[in-house]
Amino acid sequence: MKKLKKAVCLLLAVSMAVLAGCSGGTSATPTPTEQASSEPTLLRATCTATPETLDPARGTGENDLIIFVNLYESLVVPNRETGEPEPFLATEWTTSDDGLKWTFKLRDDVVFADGTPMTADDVVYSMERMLALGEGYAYVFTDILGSVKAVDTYTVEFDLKSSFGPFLTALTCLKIVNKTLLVANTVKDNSYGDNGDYGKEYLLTNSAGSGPYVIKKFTIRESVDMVKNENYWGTLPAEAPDEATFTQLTDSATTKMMMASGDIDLAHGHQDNETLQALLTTEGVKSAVVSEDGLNYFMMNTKKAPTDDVHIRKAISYACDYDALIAVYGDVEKPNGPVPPNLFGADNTIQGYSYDPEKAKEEIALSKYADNLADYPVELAYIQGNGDTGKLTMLLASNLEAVGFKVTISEVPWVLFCNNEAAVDTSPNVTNAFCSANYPEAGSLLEFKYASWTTGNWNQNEWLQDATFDQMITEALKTVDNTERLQKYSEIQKYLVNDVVPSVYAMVSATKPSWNSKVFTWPVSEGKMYASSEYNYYLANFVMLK
Amino acid sequence: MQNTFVMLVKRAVHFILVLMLLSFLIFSFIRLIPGDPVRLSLGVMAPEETVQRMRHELYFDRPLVVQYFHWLQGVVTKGDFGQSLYTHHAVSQDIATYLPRSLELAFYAAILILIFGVLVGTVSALFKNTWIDNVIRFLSYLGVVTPPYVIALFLLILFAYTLKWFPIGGVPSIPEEIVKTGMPGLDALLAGNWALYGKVLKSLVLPTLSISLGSIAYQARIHRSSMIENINADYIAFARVAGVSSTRLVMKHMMKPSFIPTFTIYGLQVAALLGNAFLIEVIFRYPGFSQYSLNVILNKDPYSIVAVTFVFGVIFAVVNLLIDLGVSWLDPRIRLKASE
Amino acid sequence: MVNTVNIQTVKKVNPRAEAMKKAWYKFSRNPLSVLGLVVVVGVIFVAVFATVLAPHPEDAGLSIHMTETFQAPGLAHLAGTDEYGRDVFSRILIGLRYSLAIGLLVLAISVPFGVLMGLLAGYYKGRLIEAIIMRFTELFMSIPPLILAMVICTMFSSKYIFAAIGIAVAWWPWYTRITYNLVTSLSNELYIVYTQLSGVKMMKIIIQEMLPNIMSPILTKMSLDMGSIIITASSMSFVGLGVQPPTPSLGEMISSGIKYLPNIWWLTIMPALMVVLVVLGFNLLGDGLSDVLSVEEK
Repeated sequence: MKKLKKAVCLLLAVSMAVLAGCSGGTSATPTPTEQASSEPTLLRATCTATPETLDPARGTGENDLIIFVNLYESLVVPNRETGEPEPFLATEWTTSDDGLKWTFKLRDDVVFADGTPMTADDVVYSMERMLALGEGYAYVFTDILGSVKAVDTYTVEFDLKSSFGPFLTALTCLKIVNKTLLVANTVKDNSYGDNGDYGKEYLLTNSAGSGPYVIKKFTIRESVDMVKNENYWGTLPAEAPDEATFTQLTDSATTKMMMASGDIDLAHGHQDNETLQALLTTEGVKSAVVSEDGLNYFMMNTKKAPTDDVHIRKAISYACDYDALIAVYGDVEKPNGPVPPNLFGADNTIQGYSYDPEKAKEEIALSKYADNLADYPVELAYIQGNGDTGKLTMLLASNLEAVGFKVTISEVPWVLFCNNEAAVDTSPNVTNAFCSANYPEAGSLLEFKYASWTTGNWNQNEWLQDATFDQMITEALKTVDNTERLQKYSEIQKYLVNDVVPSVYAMVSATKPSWNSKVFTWPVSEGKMYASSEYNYYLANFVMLK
Repeated sequence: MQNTFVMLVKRAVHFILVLMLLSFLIFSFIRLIPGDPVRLSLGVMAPEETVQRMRHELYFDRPLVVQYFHWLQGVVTKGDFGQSLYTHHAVSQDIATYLPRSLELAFYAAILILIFGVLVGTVSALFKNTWIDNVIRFLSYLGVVTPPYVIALFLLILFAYTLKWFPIGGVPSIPEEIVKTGMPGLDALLAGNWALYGKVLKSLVLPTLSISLGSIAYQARIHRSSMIENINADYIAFARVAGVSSTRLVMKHMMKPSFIPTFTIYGLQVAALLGNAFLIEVIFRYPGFSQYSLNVILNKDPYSIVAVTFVFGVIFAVVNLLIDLGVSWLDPRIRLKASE
Repeated sequence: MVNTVNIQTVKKVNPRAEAMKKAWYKFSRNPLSVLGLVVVVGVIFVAVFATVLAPHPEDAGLSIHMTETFQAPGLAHLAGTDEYGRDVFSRILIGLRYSLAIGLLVLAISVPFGVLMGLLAGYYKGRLIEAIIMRFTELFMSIPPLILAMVICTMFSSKYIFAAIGIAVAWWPWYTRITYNLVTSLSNELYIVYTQLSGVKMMKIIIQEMLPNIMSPILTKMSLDMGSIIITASSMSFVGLGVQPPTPSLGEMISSGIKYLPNIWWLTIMPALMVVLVVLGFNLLGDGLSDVLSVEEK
């Protein structure tokens, strides 16, 4: 028995040593040394998720757009400061008096990444393709666009069925794809008749645009590798990164370590405050607050007791400790109404609600639930794993309890959350989520948030179904004249804040990207932010320092 | 031999029945669980026609039985498991991408768990109730209860971040042209690229340790207690009295039967590694099968969920068969009885 | 049971009490086993009286102190404070209650059922019932626990008792599998074969002869599983099953704390230490019990 014990111990010791040897042996390799200046420059960034496809007709998320702006281009781009559309692939345009016919003159010097010149045909194809697919931004145009045709090689004409004020702004959503390339790579006999699969399969892993970068390698939910487009028709500075990788990375502990050891240069802007502070302790790492076209909303179900009473909704708006919410999130603005202050069409004269527990109690007393509030618990819900929304919900819940509400909280997985929102009965009293405009204008956000035709989804727990609002937003969107349209947007915002009170406008939606300032600088470093946040990630504006 | 063959045929028939029942169950579960995967995939603003068209293409507007048999037909005739809404690829292609990575990780972990689990368990049993046993016991409790992702973070902080022995997650990318099996290490080996294999191995050390430490501890505990059980068994005492040498006694009479629970749990644990390593894969940026299966479940991606479960079904069936074969090897009396 | 006094054989006076006494003596001789018992009793006591013992019981609810967030462990807060400024120590004590309840519930459901199925399958080896039971274990092992949890969540409710049922449904096949293998091996032991030949009923053989003999590995697995279940329970919240915030559970505290590592370590380490304590207690107790059981067989 003794001998055996010894033998086993020896075996154990030996195998330990072997294992230790293994790790020791591999440790001999040095860590990667700094790149020589002649080598191509590489930017290593992280994202919360890679796009699901490189098809600009299908993606609308922040992660999609950050990549798409580098691969594809549009007829017009939003101005950096005002967000107003400016010429890009189109040099000029004219509108008929009734606002139904739009004619665009295209640049004649644009070539796609494979060298094919861009013509009006590509624009027509891109639009028709997007509508046929029906995904992404198609809904913006589906109901209003009659037809699109190429007048000559460099002239495109859009005929609208009804006038649509934000048409020009909305065109920033239409990314132009290379028709010749996609037709050559179409899978025949598919969902779209003669057009086969419309090149959907090809665009799962390839790009077909005219932007300053092209795809080197794309692996869904892992990483997107882009390199400079050698055929780029415009100017692409030499200091811009030769190659850029966006890696999907959500784990904050890993992010902290990789930033500290110089394995990443740019961390995505959805870190929680504690992680961000830790990231900033690394020398040279900086961060900035980049506002987005949206808000954080506490959406109150206007069709379910007790939040069906406007006094209760006002009470909740007063009970909310806005400063505490903002403290959780960091350095962001408090909005006064349903539209973020920097979005085209926001009315910044509105006086919103502020933290006032006494007023909240007064409003409760005015409501029909004043006597039996305890019988109507307020049910708060948030999406599981959705950044800080859980924290915000907890804070509001504690505020509500303080003024006399009875509350319940539930953390709901995404799929279930969406399912609950499909019907009024299963939609909770209050939900918390971030919502952004689909195209950079107040009308987009207002429609998305409150129109009757967007109920049944996660973005509208309010179930507003308000005929007055529907009428107002439809009218506003039809108005072609900018000043007049803005006036109408302003009236809608006042109506919502003063009369309906459908939501608590907690804070302006913002991301807080952090980056290693020793590796590169970008316009954000100098405080130059784009009104449309994805354009901040336009890699051609980056200056690599190594 | 004859009997083993009959047994295998029988098992194969059962196996197919189990897989069919399993996939049908999952299809019905998916219908039961609330949430419209198509609407989720296309987004809030997608027009109703687009949603309906996709539902139709995916057979989601047909009765459950029709959908099931359509799927089954695809699987049997073309090996087509349907389309994933989560990755937009064919599900079979996804499985071929993610499963091999996890299999490779599980393979290295399985080796570690077997060697160290048994070794530590044996030492612990032989030195029962001495300080060696107590130290091992305490360490194994620690190992068992510490969630693998906590272990992973500590290993990462210590060995990758502070000591810089290993990379902070990630796996070296394998050039497209040498990808054959989808297992990064094996592909490098097959291409004869030793440098690349070394790199892959280096990046796999920490994830492997993270998923195996807990199982090693677990295995050691199970092995210890079943060995102790056997030390006390009558026939051991009998053999000892009969003068069988103690080394031989341990090796032949104590070791082999003690392996029955050890081996059973071992097989199941290794199989379960494929589905449980979700956070490890996230932390080490090693997108494998666990991460895929969790994400498709959370996104309620119907055909992927069925395929994932199908894969688990195959793996558990195979592992159970191996366990049965292993046990009958460890204890020949079982084999005898079965053939009577 | 009935305490019959037999005049003829004094030694057999109250055999059960005698055996118990002997077992207890054997058990109490091992300080580790006693320590295990003390820890388990202590942990259960703490869990039951958690709200009384916790210095800030309100921190398990909606109380939020944004001015006191992330305080390191010290005299004011023994285990520090979390991202809402809540007392981690209080939350551990109250979270222990749910975690312990889930662990015990899961074991109470899955072990008897799983072991029974294993005994049946093992005893009826070669028959149809064996094939059915064993293929069903494969079936249940293959269904991802989260899917089971989602289904249960849909059909019943998201209360934590259903989380326990969900985990138990995924857990029992392991016990079936291990019992089955032990029984098939055991049923070839000479003494079982003899007992069978001497005409003793099958049920009796299973309960009197087989069960005690397989108790040791089962007990070990049970006591180890306490920890795994507590951790698994936290992953159930991925699909909305289990305790809802702000109510704490140990597993949920650990998993929500990891993103603050490494600088804010107490959010992970402190609840993890509690889990270690629980598992340590149950394991020492389990080892002690299986020692006693295997001696009784002699």
